[in-house]
Amino acid sequence: MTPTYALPANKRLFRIYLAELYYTLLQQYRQPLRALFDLFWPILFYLLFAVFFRDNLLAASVQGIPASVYLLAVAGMFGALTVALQGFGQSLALERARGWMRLRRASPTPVTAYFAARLSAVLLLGTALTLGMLLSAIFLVGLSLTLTQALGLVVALMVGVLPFAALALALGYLVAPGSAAAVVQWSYYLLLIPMLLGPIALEALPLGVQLVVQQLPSYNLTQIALGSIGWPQTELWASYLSLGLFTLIALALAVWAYRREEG
Amino acid sequence: MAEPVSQLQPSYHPTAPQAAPVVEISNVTKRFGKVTAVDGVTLTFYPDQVTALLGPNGAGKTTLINLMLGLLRPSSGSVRLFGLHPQSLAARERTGVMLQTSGVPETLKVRELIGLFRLYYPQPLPTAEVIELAGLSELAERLYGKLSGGEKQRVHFALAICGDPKLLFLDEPTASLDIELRQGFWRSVARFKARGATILFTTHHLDEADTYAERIVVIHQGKIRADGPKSEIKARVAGKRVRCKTVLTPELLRQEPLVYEVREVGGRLEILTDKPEQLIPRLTALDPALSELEVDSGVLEEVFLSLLRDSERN
Repeated sequence: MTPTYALPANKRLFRIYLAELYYTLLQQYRQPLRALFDLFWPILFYLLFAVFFRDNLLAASVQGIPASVYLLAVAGMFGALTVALQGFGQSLALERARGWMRLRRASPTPVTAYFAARLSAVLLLGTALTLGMLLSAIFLVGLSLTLTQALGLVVALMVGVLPFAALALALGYLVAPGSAAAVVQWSYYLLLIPMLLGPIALEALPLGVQLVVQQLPSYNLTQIALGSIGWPQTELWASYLSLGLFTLIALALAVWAYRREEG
Repeated sequence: MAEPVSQLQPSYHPTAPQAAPVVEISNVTKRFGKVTAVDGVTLTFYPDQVTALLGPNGAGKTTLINLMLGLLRPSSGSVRLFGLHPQSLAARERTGVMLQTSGVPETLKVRELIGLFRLYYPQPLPTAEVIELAGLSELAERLYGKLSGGEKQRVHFALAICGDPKLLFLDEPTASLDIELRQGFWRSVARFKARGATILFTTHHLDEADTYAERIVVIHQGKIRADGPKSEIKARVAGKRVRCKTVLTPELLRQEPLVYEVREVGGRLEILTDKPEQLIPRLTALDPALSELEVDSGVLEEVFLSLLRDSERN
């Protein structure tokens, strides 16, 4: 194997990125209970309703979309949120609270490789979750999706973890180390609101409340996920724009917070 | 009586002053709101020195270390490592760090942690050599979370040296270790030191500073109170310690002008003085039955305490 020092800087950076990604995933693998919660809980949540109330959900429809498909999209958003905030966000907050990030800052850890690897790990886990949910829906629930719907949903939810991962990064570094885990947890509960309300209940709320909820990234991801399965949308572009801006702002905040003085 | 602190050499110069400094701290002040943690500190460290940074809790030791590591920015003044900003990649690639708390992931094995960390450095030591130097040969395949406190400290040390640094910071490296583990740790440090590196450590165990450091820097209330070779500080400040068994009381002896400090230890008196050759005849004159007389050179503990007392008096 070529010694590290003999490699050009960019190749060394790539090797570091791969190592960070490998060890991040390895840590997940070695915590099976945690992986069970982060990955399987959203799938189990979906199956709990989709299997027990299968016939009812297959027979009903919401805005022309089968209720079981609607449930899949919403559960997928729930899964993306869980993987990003409960999985990635909590572990980041704990690493910072325990001092691991401080040691990294004092050492020549390349920040870009570290962040890129962590985000890649979230993306991989989000993809695994989405595929798991989709396969469960098709083979255990008997859901019927067109190829376009299936691909659209997978891509939407895969990419959908990124805004929440960026939020987790920002929260992890903006908030005091001892409080970050709790703040991440509360953010998780806050972002579940659009899922709990659903579009029908949301329309029944005062306009001011609607406007606030519509700015939440979880709301916009749900809109995109629903749009991929044929939910009638008039301003889907607004959801893409909002989510994109949110991700960029969160990442910028994360970088700024990482570089500012600590301790 | 003890030499006033102000007359001590404020900044140590090595025997080879032409060596380029490794660390330069120039009139650095660090404030946290109304609290001044480091106050106008100027220090220079040269290659191949082992320096102990001493001070009571809250003195500013950790703040100073964090300033040198680039984890904090000074309110005024400047810090340079190898002539570079401490946050520069080039400076960090030549530096190894062992912090008081490291938060190492518990679900990675020792070998994996070292393998990951050494990737950050352009010319790291081989993993096998790091494991050997840190005394981790039998623990390489164990998960970090399954290690004892002493074993974890050795892992922290391994992470600090895996990049083959020219400058090594050890912030209270033996704080939670018993004496046997502390000695084992310092044997590991000595093995690494033989490669030639500048080592700066903080400790509350003054015997460690006395045994392993070549240079002592004492910081108190954010200011440098003493800085120099260990032997010079001990000789110029504390003088000697006279131990004896006597009927004379500490209260009586404290009135003697040659006596700096007296305390009772195990049925004997320990008397601090810088002129034992004048004090001993005085003692025997006062108590002809005086016995078990011993004289030894200044102990760092006395030095440290006397410096703090002078600092508070001033």
